[in-house]
Amino acid sequence: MVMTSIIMEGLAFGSVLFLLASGLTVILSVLRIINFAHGAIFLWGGYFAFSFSTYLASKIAGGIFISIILAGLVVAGLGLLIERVLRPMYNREMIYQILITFGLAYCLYDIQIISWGPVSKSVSTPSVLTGSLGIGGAEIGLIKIFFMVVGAVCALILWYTFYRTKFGIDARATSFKSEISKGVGIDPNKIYMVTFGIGAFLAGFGGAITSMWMPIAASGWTRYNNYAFAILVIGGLGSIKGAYVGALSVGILISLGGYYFPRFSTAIIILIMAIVLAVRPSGMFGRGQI
Amino acid sequence: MDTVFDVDRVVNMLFQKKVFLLLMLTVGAIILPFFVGTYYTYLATTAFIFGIFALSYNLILGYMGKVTFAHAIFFGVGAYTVAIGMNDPPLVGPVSFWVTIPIAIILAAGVAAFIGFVACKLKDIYFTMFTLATGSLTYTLIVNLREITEGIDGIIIPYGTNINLLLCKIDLDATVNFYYFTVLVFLISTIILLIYTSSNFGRMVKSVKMNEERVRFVGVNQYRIQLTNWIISSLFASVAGCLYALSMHHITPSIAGVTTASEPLIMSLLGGMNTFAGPIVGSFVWIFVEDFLSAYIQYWHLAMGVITILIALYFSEGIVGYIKEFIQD
Repeated sequence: MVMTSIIMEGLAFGSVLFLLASGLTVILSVLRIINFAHGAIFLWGGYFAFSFSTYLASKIAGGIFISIILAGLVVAGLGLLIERVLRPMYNREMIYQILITFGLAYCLYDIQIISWGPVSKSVSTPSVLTGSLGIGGAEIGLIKIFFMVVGAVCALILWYTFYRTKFGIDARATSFKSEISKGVGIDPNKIYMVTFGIGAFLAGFGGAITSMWMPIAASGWTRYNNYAFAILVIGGLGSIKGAYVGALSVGILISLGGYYFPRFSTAIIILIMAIVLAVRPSGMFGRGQI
Repeated sequence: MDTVFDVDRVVNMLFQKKVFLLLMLTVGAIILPFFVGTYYTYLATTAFIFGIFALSYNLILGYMGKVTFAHAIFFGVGAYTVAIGMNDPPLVGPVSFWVTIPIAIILAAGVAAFIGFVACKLKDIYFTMFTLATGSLTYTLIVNLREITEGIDGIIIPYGTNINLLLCKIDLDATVNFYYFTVLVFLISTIILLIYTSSNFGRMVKSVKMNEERVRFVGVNQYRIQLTNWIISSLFASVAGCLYALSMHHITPSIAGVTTASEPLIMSLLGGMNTFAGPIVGSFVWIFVEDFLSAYIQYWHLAMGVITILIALYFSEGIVGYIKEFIQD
């Protein structure tokens, strides 16, 4: 009973975390940049969803859903701007890449504090999703099932984009050998731009739907960064499948840890991440490229 | 590798520019409190403490070529050992400052050995992610182990810290006294690190950064070298943490977190990570810039972020690096 609801909650949170981590893994494998600002971009989506929903929720039917999509798109647009700042860094040493994304994270943190204040914000759950469903003797909120469906659909779309479309093949080629792919007429800058846009959209969209469930505060960016890195390490760098399985397992671990050791739920995740790094750095499905 | 401490090289070094600059710095540090007020003396104290911290950080950034966010752990270990020791711990009662420092150093070395055991095996991105994770893990542990660390409220260190130095009793609560004490510790640490980085072992660390494979071909165990360097750098971070706790009189869990760890990173890069003096210069510039910004700008995170981005984009050699280039031209 309790177990079912813990696992369902973990799967729902894991699906949200998948949106966060998949953006990071896509950016990491195509752009070869580890984006420390990803947690802040994720929270940005939540803040935008809050702002849009205060205007739209009462005016249009389904206004909350529209505002969530809008938040994702706005964050994707801002992601394209961020990519312009990052562009000179692609051929530099990793130290400077880490430094610039860290600086960006600081900037985004303060921009969020200036725009929305330090108080946490949340979007009200739309009335369609307020009910609950009995599964295995436990009452599971519809919103959690909605998250699971959204996560699975996004995973499928992402997989299709990167493995079955022309853009995906080009992107994988660029990630594999950017010099040679340039030789066959692929413009790496365009690939990098679109990929960063996709990553930012996933993060912003994920943050937006998270704000329906739990409040969003700018100071949470390091926590979400940690979750995302833990998923990447456990699932394996540069693998969409790894990100999905990793996210679901991390979600379940977080909700199990939150139930049995509420004080140390984050610590458990990081400990497992450390053990995986020590024993098998490539994670479950890691291949180093997408 | 067989001679870690080379006497000839140390003697040669005494006649180098670095020693001259160090003497200048010493004289400047001694006369500084006569010219500026208490507030700037206090700021200079902080800058010297972070100078030790950044110097030890640069052993990993500049000499090993890796970015770590775990360095604040050792800083935090030092600070918390001093704070707990001077705060009447159960069973033993209040402990003298001179006893807590060695304990802090040994504890930091132990923690560093434990983390480094895994971390030094990892490559670039994995190394950074692992240190980031351990950094936030330590923060979470300090917040949640309330019985020992008093949680998010932090620990207050009582005033009235007296130490016995060369038969005189010194009251460390006076800003100027503490300033001179910090300068003393700073100079000792700097000289030790100067000798260390120019020793054979220090050169070996650098050569691992330049070409790991060749070092392995020569028959040297690069893992052991990096682990030793990692532990040595943790010792100095711990000393800096001890001083920081005494200077602040109040420490919170965030001093072991990722934000604190990013400070010496920015200092080293600002000053120039490929130079020995870079972190010291970076520490002074950064502490005074930070003070200026937090006094006049409410949202100094934004300013700090913009400065960091600008350093990464246009100022990669750092202040000392550019001065060196200018002199050589």
